Amino acid sequence: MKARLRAAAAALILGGLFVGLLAGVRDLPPIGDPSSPASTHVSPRFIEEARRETGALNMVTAVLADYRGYDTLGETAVIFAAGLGAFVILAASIGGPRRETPGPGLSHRVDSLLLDTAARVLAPFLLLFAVYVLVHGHVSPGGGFQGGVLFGLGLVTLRLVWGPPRPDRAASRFGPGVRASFLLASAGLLAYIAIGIAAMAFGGAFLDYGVLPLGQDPAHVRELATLGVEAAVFVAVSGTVAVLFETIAVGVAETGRPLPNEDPAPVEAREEG
Amino acid sequence: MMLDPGGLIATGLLATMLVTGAVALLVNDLLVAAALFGVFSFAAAAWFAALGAVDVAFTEACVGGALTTILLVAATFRTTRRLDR
Repeated sequence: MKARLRAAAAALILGGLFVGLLAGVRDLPPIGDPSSPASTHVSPRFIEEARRETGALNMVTAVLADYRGYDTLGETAVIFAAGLGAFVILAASIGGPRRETPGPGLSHRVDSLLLDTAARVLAPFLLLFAVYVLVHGHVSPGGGFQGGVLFGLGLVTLRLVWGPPRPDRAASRFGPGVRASFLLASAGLLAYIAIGIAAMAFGGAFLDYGVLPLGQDPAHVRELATLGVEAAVFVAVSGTVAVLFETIAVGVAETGRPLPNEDPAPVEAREEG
Repeated sequence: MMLDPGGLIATGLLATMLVTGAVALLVNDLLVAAALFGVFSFAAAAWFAALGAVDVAFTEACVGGALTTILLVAATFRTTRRLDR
């Protein structure tokens, strides 16, 4: 009865929220309306001034990381929260029944020459390209988010082939693991906030990069600060990608310990020998 | 009637998204569904690129095409591959 009451309350609150949001949408101008305020004031301003004000050739980067830096901070926080949510939910259910043995490559090392060689060739280029996407985001498509995902995928590639970090296998001890990934993700998010607060310390508004004492030309200063912000997003996103992979593919209790249904025989054998 | 090649490509990509999305919901093999979602994301990314939204296409290719597919495959390994309806 109590559970049903709670479900009814949740349905009522969510339904009310939905109706309220729908009512709010009615007041918005139609999508793509050329006479809407966004199209007559905001967009022309970005298109005409972005190059001069922020020094970025890629206007998308100028909008995402500079003009709308606050939005991007929120998005980074949401991504971090997604990683945290996956971790918390899977940590709560880790004691539950596991219907199928985790496949090779997810719980332990695969001894395949093909996979090993492919990963050795692919992963370095993936990691390097991720950094290129980050630092080149000013002038070409890309930026911290895409670069961060690519870097995380590079780590996941190595991790898929070389197995999880385990104390009994020095050779396959690769990959940051859940704890270090969370540290990375938090560090990125905190660095973003720190850049915003630094702007406040120098007399500007939150995330108002122009006031930072990084040079004479304000456009150049904003360019540098944008790169800093993108780097923070890069670290946060690649950490979150690693967290998501570790928790979903390998399990929360994995770090340094074999999975419950994995045969721990090799460890004992080595200790005896 | 002249056929516009750009329109043909866009129609093909949208049709691919529709078909892969629908089949992914209908198949009982979840590994197949994960692979189909990868194809879906790739078509979406190509469509975004065709519309000129290169940054969005880049993100869709990274997140939808690669990361989400890996996570879905990993999830099928951790849970079950067959869907009993």
